[in-house]
Amino acid sequence: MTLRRKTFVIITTILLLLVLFLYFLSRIILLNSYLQLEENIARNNTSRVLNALARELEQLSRTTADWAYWDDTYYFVQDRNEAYIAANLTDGTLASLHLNFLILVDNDGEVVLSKFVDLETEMETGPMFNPEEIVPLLVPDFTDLKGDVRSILQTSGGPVLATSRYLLTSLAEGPVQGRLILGYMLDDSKVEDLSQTLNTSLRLHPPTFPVPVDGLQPVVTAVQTNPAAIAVYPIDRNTVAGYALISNLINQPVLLLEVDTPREVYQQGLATFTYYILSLVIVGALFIVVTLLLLDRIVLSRLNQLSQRVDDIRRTGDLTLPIQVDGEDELSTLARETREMLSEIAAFKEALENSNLELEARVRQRTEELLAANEALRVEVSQRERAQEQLAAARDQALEALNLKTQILANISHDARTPLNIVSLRAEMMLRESYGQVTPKQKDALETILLSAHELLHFINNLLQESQTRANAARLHNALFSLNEVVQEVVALTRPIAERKNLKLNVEISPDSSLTYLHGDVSCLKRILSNLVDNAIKFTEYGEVTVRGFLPDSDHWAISVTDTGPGIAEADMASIFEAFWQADGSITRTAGRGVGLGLSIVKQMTLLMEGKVTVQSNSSGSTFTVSFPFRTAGSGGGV
Amino acid sequence: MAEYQALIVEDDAALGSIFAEVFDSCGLQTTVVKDGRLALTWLEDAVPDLILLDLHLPHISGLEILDNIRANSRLKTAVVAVVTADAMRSREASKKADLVLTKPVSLNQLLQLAEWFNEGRD
Repeated sequence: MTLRRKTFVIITTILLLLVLFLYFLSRIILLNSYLQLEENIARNNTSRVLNALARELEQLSRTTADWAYWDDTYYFVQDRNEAYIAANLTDGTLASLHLNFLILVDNDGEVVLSKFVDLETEMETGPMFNPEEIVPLLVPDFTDLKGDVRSILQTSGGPVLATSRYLLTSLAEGPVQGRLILGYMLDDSKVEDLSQTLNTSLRLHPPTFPVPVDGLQPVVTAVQTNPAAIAVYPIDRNTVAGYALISNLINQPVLLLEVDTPREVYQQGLATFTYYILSLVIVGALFIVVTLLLLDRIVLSRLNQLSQRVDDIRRTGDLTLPIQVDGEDELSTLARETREMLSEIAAFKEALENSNLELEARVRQRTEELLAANEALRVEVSQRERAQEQLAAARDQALEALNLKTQILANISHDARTPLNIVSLRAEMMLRESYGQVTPKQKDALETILLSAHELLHFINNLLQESQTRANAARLHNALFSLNEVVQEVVALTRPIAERKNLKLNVEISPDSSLTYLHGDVSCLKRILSNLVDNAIKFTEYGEVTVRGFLPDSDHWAISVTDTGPGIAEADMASIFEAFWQADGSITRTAGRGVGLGLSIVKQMTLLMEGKVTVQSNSSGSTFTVSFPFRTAGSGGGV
Repeated sequence: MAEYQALIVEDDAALGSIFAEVFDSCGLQTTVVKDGRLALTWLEDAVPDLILLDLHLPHISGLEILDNIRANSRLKTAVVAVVTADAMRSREASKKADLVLTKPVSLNQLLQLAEWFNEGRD
C-alpha cells in the first residue's frame, strides 16, 4: 500500500465517520426540533379554531343579549302580541344576523315561539330540529343574573351553535319572563366559511368518529377521555392533524374537531437537513481532494522523487548520481543528508578500493618475497639434507669404527686373558711352593708378577668396559641378587692384594631385610664395586678399606667404600670421574700408577643403573658412595 | 675314597695343563681335551664327575657341548663348570651350567672346586 493510498484511506475514513456522526446528530437534534415545531404549530392551529368557535359564540351571545333585554320581547312573552312578531321577527332580520333559529321559552320552560330561517333563501322554513332537543341543555346557572349560556350542541338536524339569555326589560331589569335562544347550524358551508376565515383545513366529526388512519385511534381515544386536551399526530407525509373534543354544558361530547396542518415546516426541515448533509459530503470530498493534492505536492511526490533517486543509485551503483528535492524542509534535509552520506560512502568506497589495491600489491609483493624465501629455504634444506646425509654417513663410519674398535678390544681382552691367567696361576702355584721351596726374594718377585698380572687384567677389563659403554653396547641385565654375596665375591677377589699391602679389608652390610634381595644388573654392580675397592686399596698405604651396604633413605640402597688414604685434593674433585684422568704427583707418587678408567667406568655404570655416585674426601681418607633407587627400571627394589 | 673323574675342555694347552696339574694335585683323575669334537667323542664312553668347559673352542663351541651334555641323561650327574673370558657368553652359559668361572680363574677357585668334591660334594 503506497503512502498516497494510505493517506487517502485515512482521510476518507475520518471524513466518512465525521459525516455519519454529524448526520445522526443533526437528525436527532434538527429533525426533532422541526417535529416539535410542527406539533406546536398544529396545536396552535387547533387552538385557533377552538378560539374562533368561542368568538362565534361570544358574538352570538351579544346578539342574543340585544334581543333579550328589550321591552318588546319582554312584553311579548307576557301578552303574545302578534304585532311584535310582524314588526321585529321578519325572515330578513334573522337572515341578516346569520341566525338560523330563534326560540322563546317562558319561565316554565315552555316554548312560546320558535322560528327557523334558511340562510340561502332567507325564507322561514320548517323546524330544522325539535326545539325541545336543545332547551333543556341551555339551562343557565343560578348565580348568573343574566342567564348567559352558550354552547355547541348536537341536534337531529346537525350540530348547532346556540346561546341563551334571560328575558329582561330594556333596562335589564326583572322579573325574568323567560329565555331567548338564538343560534345557527354548524353545517358544511359554515365550516367552509370558518376554514377560509382561519386559513386552515378543519373538519368536524361525531365524537365517536372512527379514525381511518392506523395508529391514530389511541390519540383520538386519549382526547376523547380528556376533553381539554389537544392531540397532534401526523397523518401522512404532507399533513399533520390536531384533534380536540367539543362538549356541551353537561360535558357530553358533541363533536371531534380535526384541524389539518400542512407539514411545510417539517418538510422544510427535512430539505434543510438534506442540503446540510449534502453540502457536508461535498465539502468533505473537496477537503479530501485538496488535502491529497496538497499532500501529494508538498510531501508525497517529493518523497517519491527521493525514493526514485535512491532506487536509481541502488540500481546503477553510481553513488555520484544527484539527489535533489525542492523546498526547504525535513524532506530536503533528508535528501541533503542522504546525499552527504552517499558521498561519504563513495569516499569510503574509494578509500577501500585504494586500500584493496594497495593490499593486493602488498600481497603480491609478499607472495613474491615468500616464493623467493621458499626457494632459498628449499635450497638450504636440500643443502642441509646433503650435509645431514654426509653427517649420517660420517656418523655411521664413526660408529662402525667404534664398533670395530670395541670388537678389537673385546678380542684383545679375550685373547689376553688366557695368557694372563696362565701367568697368574703359575705364579700363585709357585708361591704355594707347588714346585719346590721359594726363597723370600723369589716370593717377592712372584708377588710382583701376580700384582702386575692382576693390574693388567683390570686395565684390560676397564678398557673393554669403557669401549662398550661408549658404543652403548652396555645393556642392563637385571636379576635378583643378594648384596652381601656380591660384596663378598668382589672382596674375595681383591683380598689377596690388600693382604699383600697389609691393609685390613672390612665388610659391613646392614642387616636390614631390604638389602637381602635386590634387583639389578649384577655384573655392572660388580664392576662398580671392584673398581672402587681396587682404587681404595691402590691409594691406601696404611690402615684399612671398609665396604658398607646400607639404606641412606627409604627409597634408596647404597654401597660405600671408605679408605684411609691421603684423600683427594679439592681441585681434583671435579675431574676424577673423567676417563684417563691423570692424578697429580701426590697420588701418582703414592699409587705409582695412573687412575685410568676406573672412576669413569664407576660413574657411567652407576648412571646406567640410574644411580648416583658421590665422594667425600679429606686428609684422613676418602669415601665413595654409590646409591640406587629401589623401584626403577634400572635397579628395582628389594623383595 | 673313590677317585673323581674330571674332564677339562680347554684349547689352550698351557692353561689346560695347569688346570690338570691343580686338579691332579687335589686327587682328581683328570683328562684334558683340546676341542669340542674330541670332548664329545670322549664323553661317549665316560661319565665324568666334573667337566671344566672353556666356551671358546675350535670346531664345536662350548655352549653346544653344554647343550649336548644337558640333553644326555647319562651325564646328568656331571657337574659342569664353565670357564670363559667372555662376559656376554658367561651370562648365557650360567643358565645351563652349574658354575661359571670368569677368566682369570684364581688358584683358590680351582682349589675350592676340587676341595668340594673331595669333601663329598655336600
